[in-house]
Amino acid sequence: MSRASDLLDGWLPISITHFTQEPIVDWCRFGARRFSEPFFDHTVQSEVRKPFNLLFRHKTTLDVLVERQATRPGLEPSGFIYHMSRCGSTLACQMLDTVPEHMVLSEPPPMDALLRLDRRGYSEQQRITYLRAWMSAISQPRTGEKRLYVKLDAWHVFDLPLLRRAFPDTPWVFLYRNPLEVLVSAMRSPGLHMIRNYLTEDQTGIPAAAVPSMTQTEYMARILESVLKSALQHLGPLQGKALDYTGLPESVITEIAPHFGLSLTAEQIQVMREKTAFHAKSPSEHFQPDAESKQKEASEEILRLCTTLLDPLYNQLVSRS
Amino acid sequence: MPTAPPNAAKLSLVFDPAGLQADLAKLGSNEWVAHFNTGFFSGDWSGAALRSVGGDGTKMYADTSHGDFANTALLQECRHLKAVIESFQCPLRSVRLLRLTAGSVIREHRDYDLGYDAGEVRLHVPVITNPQVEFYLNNRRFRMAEGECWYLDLNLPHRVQNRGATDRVHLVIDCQLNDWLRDLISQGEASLGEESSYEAFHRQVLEEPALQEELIGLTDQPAFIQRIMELAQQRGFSFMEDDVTAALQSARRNWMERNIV
Repeated sequence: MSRASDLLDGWLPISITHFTQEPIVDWCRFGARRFSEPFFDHTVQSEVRKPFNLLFRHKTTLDVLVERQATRPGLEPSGFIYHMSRCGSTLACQMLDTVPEHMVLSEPPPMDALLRLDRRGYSEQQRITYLRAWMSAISQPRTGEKRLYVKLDAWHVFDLPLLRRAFPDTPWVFLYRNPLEVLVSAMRSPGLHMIRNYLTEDQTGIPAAAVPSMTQTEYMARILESVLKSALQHLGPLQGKALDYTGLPESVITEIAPHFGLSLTAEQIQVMREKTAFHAKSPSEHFQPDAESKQKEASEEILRLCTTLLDPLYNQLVSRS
Repeated sequence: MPTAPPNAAKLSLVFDPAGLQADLAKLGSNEWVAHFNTGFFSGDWSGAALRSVGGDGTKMYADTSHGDFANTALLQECRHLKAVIESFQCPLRSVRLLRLTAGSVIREHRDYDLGYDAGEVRLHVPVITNPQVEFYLNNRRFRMAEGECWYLDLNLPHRVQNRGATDRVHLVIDCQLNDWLRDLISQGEASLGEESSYEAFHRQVLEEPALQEELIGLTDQPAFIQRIMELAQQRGFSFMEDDVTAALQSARRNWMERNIV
């Protein structure tokens, strides 16, 4: 084993830079801190602000991840959460995180960096190897964690076949919501994947030549269409479970937990229910059902796109849930 | 296809330090004007103009606006310096003597007004210096001796500490790049510099978990830096708080820019 790998006990691979000549893994001494913020990167940002972590970080190649996996295996993921964005997935993560033995990673950027190594000519097998090695290194139990859950980015539904091959034993769910409500929410503040050309034609299947003439609303609807189609395509063959927003938060306890092979005690269920009283992404605010206000906000264009493009897919998902 | 220039190169031009120092001795204390950018340094960083827009001797900053550069009256009195300047076969812009007095420090900064690609480069000729002058470019230490002529990519972060007992004076020449100068730089002795004492300490911390334990819990930046200085001193390293501050700044910048292509 290399000396570099030897020195990494207690360090976590918080970031992977893939714009450099060779991808660089950035390791930070993390201590006992849990990934409890609504997003993985929020926890990382806050940790990196500490003077020690800012100044002292190991930088290694990807192969050091693989060396570490051999000597310090971490947790095998117990469940993946895919989603169409703005559909309660953060709330589901926050509920799972209430159990002390759980580690929950919400949209960790290093996974996306590794998946996108295809653009640098890395083969599917290489990406699978590095994804598994990264997962092993990031999930080192630090406070007695025994089970690992990961919420992926909304566009990773396109990477489902590869992720399924990388983690064949990990059960997965796909969370969705009435597309009109998702579109209205995305209009207020679009996620990364809703920004034109953040995703490529290879991922979405939307012809690049057709993008410039689309309105912003139409582009977002097309992305949602691709996400829903992809989920529908993979659900059966890859043994996923689709869950509608309308069943949340209770379905985390009644549907997701059993699908993930997780049996919860009455006390754990109680703590989870208490968590749902708060807004997932702004924990200081109380959770407000907003379906009705979102319906009222929908423009003519949104209504038309939903009727023609998205509602049929949504209805198919509902019938298969 | 033109190759990219090195970060630093010692050029083949060499000048006699004794002559340059004789010229320097003629300068009275009133010839030195404090550097305009007071946020950049502590102590005394000042300059004397040898060539400037309109030949104005009070213009201390490297004027990059498009004006006509002319030698100042001061240069006419300094024949060795004048001979140095006349040996450059490229258009010259601002030419200055810059003085960093004993104990003074120039904080890490970048000179955005320059650039090989933009056709403007800055050359340094140390007139008088001492072994305790520490010049860092991109966190690498470069030792420049009296009478040598250096090309430096000052777009990169750089800082200077004069930890010696005597002043450091450099002749700083801003040149417009032409084929003569391009050749001079490409034929120069490219240098990677040396590992700084701070970098050696940094490497040791990454290799020693016990040293990490001493620092990890200090979340207050001044206390953290103070502890670093104590540990470094105990272990025989020699660097200044300024080196740590510069490293923190650069780490913050690298983190923020980590996803930028």
